[in-house]
Amino acid sequence: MEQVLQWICDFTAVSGQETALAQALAERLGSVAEASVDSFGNVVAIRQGTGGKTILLDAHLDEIGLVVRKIEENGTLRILGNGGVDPRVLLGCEVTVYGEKPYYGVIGATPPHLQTAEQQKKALRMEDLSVDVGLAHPQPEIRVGDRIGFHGSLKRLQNNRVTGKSLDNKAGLATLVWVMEHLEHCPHTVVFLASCQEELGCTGAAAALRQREVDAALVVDVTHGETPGAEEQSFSLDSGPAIGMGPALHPEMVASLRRLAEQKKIPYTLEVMGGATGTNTDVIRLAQGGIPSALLSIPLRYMHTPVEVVSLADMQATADLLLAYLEKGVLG
Amino acid sequence: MTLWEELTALDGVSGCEAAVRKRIEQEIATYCDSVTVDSMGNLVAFCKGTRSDKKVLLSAHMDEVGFVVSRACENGFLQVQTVGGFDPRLLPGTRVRLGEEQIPGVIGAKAVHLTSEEERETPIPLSKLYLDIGAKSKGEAERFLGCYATFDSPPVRFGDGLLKAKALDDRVGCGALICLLQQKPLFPFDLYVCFAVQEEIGLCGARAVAERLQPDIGIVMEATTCADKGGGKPHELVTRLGEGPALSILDGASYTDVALREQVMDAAQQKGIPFQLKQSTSGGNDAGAIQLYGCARTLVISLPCRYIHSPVSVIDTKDLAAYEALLSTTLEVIA
Repeated sequence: MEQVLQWICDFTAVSGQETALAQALAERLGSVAEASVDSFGNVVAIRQGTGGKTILLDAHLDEIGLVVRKIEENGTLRILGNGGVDPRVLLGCEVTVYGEKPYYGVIGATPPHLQTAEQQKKALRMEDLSVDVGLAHPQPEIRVGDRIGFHGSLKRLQNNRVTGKSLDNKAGLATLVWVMEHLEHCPHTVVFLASCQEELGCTGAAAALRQREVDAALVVDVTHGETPGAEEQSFSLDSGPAIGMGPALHPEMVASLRRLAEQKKIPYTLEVMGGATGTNTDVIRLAQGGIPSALLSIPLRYMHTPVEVVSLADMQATADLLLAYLEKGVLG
Repeated sequence: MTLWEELTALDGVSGCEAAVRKRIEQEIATYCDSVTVDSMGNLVAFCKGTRSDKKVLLSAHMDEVGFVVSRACENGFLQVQTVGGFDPRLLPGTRVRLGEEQIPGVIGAKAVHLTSEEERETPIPLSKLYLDIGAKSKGEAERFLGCYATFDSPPVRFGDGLLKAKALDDRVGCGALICLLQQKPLFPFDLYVCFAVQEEIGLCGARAVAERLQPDIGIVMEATTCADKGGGKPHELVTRLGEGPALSILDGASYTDVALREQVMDAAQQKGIPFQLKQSTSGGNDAGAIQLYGCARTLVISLPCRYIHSPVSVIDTKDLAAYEALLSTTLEVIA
C-alpha cells in the first residue's frame, strides 16, 4: 500500500490541472482493466464482471493548491486559493508554479517590521502573501491563471503513519488503486473512477456519471483525524475507515459494510451526517435517477495543509473492507 | 553540496550546537595555532600575529532558531517552546525534525473546514499548536521532552543564483570564517576566530568569549533582514539581495565604529567590492555583546537574507564573494 501511495504522491494534480496524474493512472490501471481518460479529465477503468451488478468506485484525484492572480513588476506573484486553502498555513511553504515550465518558489509575506503592532497580531490573509521564484522580473513563461502546487513529499512518521501534502485525497486514491490491483473473486463489473475537480464542487464526478450507468457506488475520501482542540468532530487514527451514515448514504449498503467489517474483524467507526457529506457522494447519489451510495472516509489530520497525516493501517483496513464488499457484500 | 549548503543542513538550535561545532573543527583544525572549546561550547581558533600588537576577534554564531519540546500530551502529541525569535505565524504547516536521530514531525493546524471565520482572523497561538511525530500515547512521547527540533528544510538552488535553506543565519557567517582560516591568514595582530553559541537567545556565547578576551576590535559576520520583495517603500527594504554585503551603522545592541567603517568603505570602493548600508537600526547581534562586555570597537558585515528566521530563508549566492572580500579588506585596513 505504501508503494502505491508513494507512486501517486510523486505527482501534483491541482484541481483543473490533473492531466499528468490522470494519464499515468490510466496507463498503470491498463494492466488490470480497460482504462482511459475521459473528455473532462476523469480516469475511468472498467473491470468486466461475469454477471451481477455494476459498481462504481470513486476517489477524487485532484488536490488543493493556489493560482497566480497577479504578477508584479519585480517578479513577485500574488495568489489566490485553488480550492479551500487556509492562508494561515501558507507562510514559509515551498511551492512549484506550473507555468510553461515548472518554477520553484517560496511563500513570503510583508515582513513583521513593516507591519504595525495591530497588523502583527492578526492572521495573514491571502492578500498579504506572495510567491517568490527568485527572479527580479516577470517571466513570459509564468502567466496569471497558472496553477501552483505545494511541496511536501511523503514521509514516514512513527507507528506506520505518514505525512505529505495532498493526502486528501491521495490516500483515498491509493486505496482504490490497491483494491483494483488486488481484486480477484468479484463477479460484478467494477468501474473505477478517479474524478477531477472535486475540490471545486464535485464537477468531475457529475460529468462522469452522465456517460456510464451504474447500480451502486462506493466513494473513498478522507475525514477529519482527531487532533487536540478538534476532538468532537474527528476520528482517531488507527480506528479504521469511518463508514458514513445518514440520509445521503444507502442504509442497506451501510448495514452490509458493517456486517462484513465485523465478520472480518476490520476496525471501523461511524460518521453520522445529517445532510450533505461534503464529498463526491452528494453528486453521485442523485445522478441517474438515484444511485445507492456508501462513503468510506480515511481519518486524516490537518486537512488542506501541506502536512496532512494518515495511518497506513487505516488505508489498508479501508481496502480490505472494500475487497470484502466487492467479493461478498453486494446485495441483490 | 557546497560548504555553505552542508553547514545549513546541520542541526544546531541554540543550546545544542555540537554537530555544527564538530564539522567546523574538522574544517579548520589544521589551519591555526590552536583551537579551544570553552564550557559553553564556543569554538575559538587562534592565529598568532607577527607583532601581536592588537587582539582582533572575528565572530559568527553556530546556532539557529528552532524549538525545544516542552510537553508530552495525551494521544502522543508534543508541544514546543520556540528557541530564538521568529514570526509565530510561520508555524502551522511546518515540517520539523527532532533530536539527534532527526525524527520527522509536523506542526499541523486544525482543518480549515472546522474553523470559524472569526478563528481565521487570528493567528494560532503557540499554546494551541502541537508537534505530531505519529506517537500514540503520552508514554511514547515523553522520551522527547527537552529534545531540540529544527525546521526540516534542505537547501535548494533556484531562480537566478539564489539559495533557499534554513539557518542561513548564521551558517553564512561560519562559512566565511572557515574560508578565511583556510587561507592561512597572517597578520601583525593576534587573530581570534570565534564560532559562538546561543546568539539567538541573547548574544550569550559571544559575551563570554569577549569578556574573557577583551579584544581591541570585534568584527561580526552575520546574515540580516532583506525585505526587498515585501512591497515596502525603498527605504523600508533594509537591504537588497544581489547588491553585496551590508555594513551596519548602528542597531539595537551596538554602534559600529565610525572611523573603521569609513576606512572599510573607502577601501572597498577602491577595490570595486560591492556593498550596501543596512537601512534599519533595529535588531541586534553578537557585536552588541562584544562591544559592551569586550570593550571593543565593533563592525558588522551582514549578508542580505530574505525570510530570515524561517525554514525558507533565501540568499543570493552572487553576494558571497563580496561578503568574503569585504572581510579580508577589513582585516587589511586594521593591519
